[in-house]
Amino acid sequence: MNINPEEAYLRLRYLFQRFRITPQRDPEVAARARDQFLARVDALGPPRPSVVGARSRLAKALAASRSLAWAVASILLAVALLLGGTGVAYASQNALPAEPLYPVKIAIEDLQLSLSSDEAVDAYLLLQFIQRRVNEMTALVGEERFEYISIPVARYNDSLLQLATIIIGYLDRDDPRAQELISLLSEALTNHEIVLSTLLETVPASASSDIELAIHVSKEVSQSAEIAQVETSTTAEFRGILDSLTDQGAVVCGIAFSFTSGSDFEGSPIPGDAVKVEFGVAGGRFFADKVEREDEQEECELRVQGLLSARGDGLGGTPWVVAGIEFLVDPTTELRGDPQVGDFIRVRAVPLSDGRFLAARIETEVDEVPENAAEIAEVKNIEPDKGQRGQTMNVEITGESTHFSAASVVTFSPAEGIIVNSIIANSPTSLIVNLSIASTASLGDRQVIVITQEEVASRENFRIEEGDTEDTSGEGEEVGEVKLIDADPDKGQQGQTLAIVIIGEGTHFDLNSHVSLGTGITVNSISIQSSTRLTINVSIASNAALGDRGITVATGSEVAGGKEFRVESATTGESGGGGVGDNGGNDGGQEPDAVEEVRFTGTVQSMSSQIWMIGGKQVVITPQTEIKDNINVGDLVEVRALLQPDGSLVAARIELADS
Amino acid sequence: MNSNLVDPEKALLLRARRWDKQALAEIYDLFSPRLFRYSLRLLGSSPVAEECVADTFERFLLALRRGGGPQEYLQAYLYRVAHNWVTDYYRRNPLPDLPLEPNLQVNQELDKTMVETMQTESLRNALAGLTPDQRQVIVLKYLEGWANEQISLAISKSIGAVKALQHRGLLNLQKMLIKDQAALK
Repeated sequence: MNINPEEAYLRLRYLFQRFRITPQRDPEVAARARDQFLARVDALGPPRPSVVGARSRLAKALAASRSLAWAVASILLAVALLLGGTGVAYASQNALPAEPLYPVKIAIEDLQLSLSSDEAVDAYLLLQFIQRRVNEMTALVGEERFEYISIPVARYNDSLLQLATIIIGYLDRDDPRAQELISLLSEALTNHEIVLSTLLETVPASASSDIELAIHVSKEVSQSAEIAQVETSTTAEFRGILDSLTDQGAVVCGIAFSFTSGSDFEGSPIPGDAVKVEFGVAGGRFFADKVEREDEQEECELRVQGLLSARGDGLGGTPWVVAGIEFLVDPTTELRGDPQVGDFIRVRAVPLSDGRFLAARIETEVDEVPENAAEIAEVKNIEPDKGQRGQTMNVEITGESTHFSAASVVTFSPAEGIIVNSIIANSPTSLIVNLSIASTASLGDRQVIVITQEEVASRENFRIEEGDTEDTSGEGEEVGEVKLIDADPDKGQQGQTLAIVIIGEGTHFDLNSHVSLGTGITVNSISIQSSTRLTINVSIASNAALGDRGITVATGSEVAGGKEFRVESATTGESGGGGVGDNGGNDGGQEPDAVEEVRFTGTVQSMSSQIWMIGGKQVVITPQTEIKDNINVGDLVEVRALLQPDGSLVAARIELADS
Repeated sequence: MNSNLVDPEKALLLRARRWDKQALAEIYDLFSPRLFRYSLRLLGSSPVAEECVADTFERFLLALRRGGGPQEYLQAYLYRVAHNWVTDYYRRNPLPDLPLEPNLQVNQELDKTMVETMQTESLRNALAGLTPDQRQVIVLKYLEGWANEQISLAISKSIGAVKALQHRGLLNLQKMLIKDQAALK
């Protein structure tokens, strides 16, 4: 007999009705089950703190300081805008709170952030800024100006909040950059906690609450970053049979995985099931992000992909490392390609009885790069690749597929103990960086990171070593001759205002350097290009004594001399009078070294406090540079500049081409 | 209606997250009987249904303790866990294929109770033959009386997907029952 669908449906409805009737539950069994449940509640105890809670605490802790920080930032930015001019920008870099140029320093930082269109660049900038704030706190304590410590503390907290916000955004979007940022941040915060704890022992009670706040925020962020690192570090998966499962973790094919509050489960796996575990590595432990039951039985197998960070031998001795996971390679390993450190590879490995992994197959993905490495800009070389504590030096950074410019930002990870004094972009793939290494800088390797617009290049390391000279005196000063080897021009006329480039040897010029040319010559401004090169703008009094006089540059206890400057009479005509560097315009003579004025029109490609790239030319900005309009990158501008004897262009005036 | 009133289920969940034993007991008392009936219908065995309920609450406790578990919809969460448990059970303990006895001829002598028991068993087996998602939708809709919105939350699928699953589930059930009836006749 055939049953049509309509009849079947009616029958189904009837069956559903019947099916809803269920036998009475045995009350005794039910009561026993309830007791067992409540006993289990007691046995398990209260929950561990959740990540959500940690993040929430972080947000609250930071929010408390946020409003104050923004208020401070707004005021400083306004002051900076009022001051205006890019010439003071460079000079502001070492300014401390309550000093006239500090608002400029802060305004520039805010400007850098506002100009950036990429959160990743913001994050790296913020990493730099929080290091600066710690440096400022240290300097203020050193100068016993405790009353100003709250200013860098507020900025520190605010920058950390911004950084945490960016990272949480990456976390929410499963952006792999979160992992790298968290790693960098964790390193930085570890150092900060040490420095701040030391400061706390030094400061009086009136300032201790500020330092304590910074420590508190640092610890909160650090703790959350640590947890988040575990959460986000899912880079690998492991398949096998679930041996055991507890609320603490799971063991699959003998490999232990710990659970975090974010661990997820799918398909209700139970021991004996074939499972896939997606996991990350932190502190050498495996943390399961997800445990999923699989229908098909799988061999025990690890699959991981990422950049090869260490390449051991091929004989099963020293391990290779990808994404923090160590594995051995032996002659049984099928190697596809010739993977080198830094290559993106895929690995399939099997667990050994001792808990280690042996790679069964390694594939080098030549064409495949991680999502966050869409730009393959890399730092290929840094020369020299090491420096000593207490040293100020130039290093050349060579990039590949990079677009270095004067707007590039160079930083080190960890950043502690290294100050980047200046940057000169020789080409899109070459940068000269002048840096100072603190005498207390931690020894070891630092990753070099160059950020140019949205491009982040890194890979090579810079090593900090002990100084060559044994510091038995405890003063930590380098031994070596300090002198001036050039001053250009080395003469000027009475009444003239001009720029002089001074070159030193073994010197450590910085913004605290003091230049003297004797009575009658006023140093109007100083601009530091490197530890051995500075430019001063001077005015020679009309009654300045004629003849030679010594030039001295004092930097702390270091005094460099050995070059002379000649003052000539404006009426002798011996050298033709003042040159184009004359800002006062009180004579129209020619400079002996023929500083040539050039004019050109070009598009502004990049802008930093000291150097702009305009129409492919690198133009030095000085305090005397007259910038007529509100100029931005991309604007077409007319430039009047002075071609210096060394070939550099010093801008005298820049204005919009159509203005 | 006072919109400021806190959803009792959410309030209960909030207290449970703080490991409030009273709240956990209330949750158990509220959902344990429902989950028992749900699992009993699908499993057909009181002891196994008790086991399902116990494991469901065990997993709930462990999830809460790890900071996981339901964020808002407690009922949906518990039914989802129980559903997974039943699915696992089916996988490990396949029910016999329909009909129970291919050559069995149901005659007029079989009393009504016996017939109804077999019909019930047929439906249970037919349900077991559905995909897990279809089964969950059919059971929640027709046996538990849930609205599509609630089912949508429980299985984390859109209402459209719920309707589609419901449609396909019913069709499959009808086909299986037609086949079953034909065999019984």
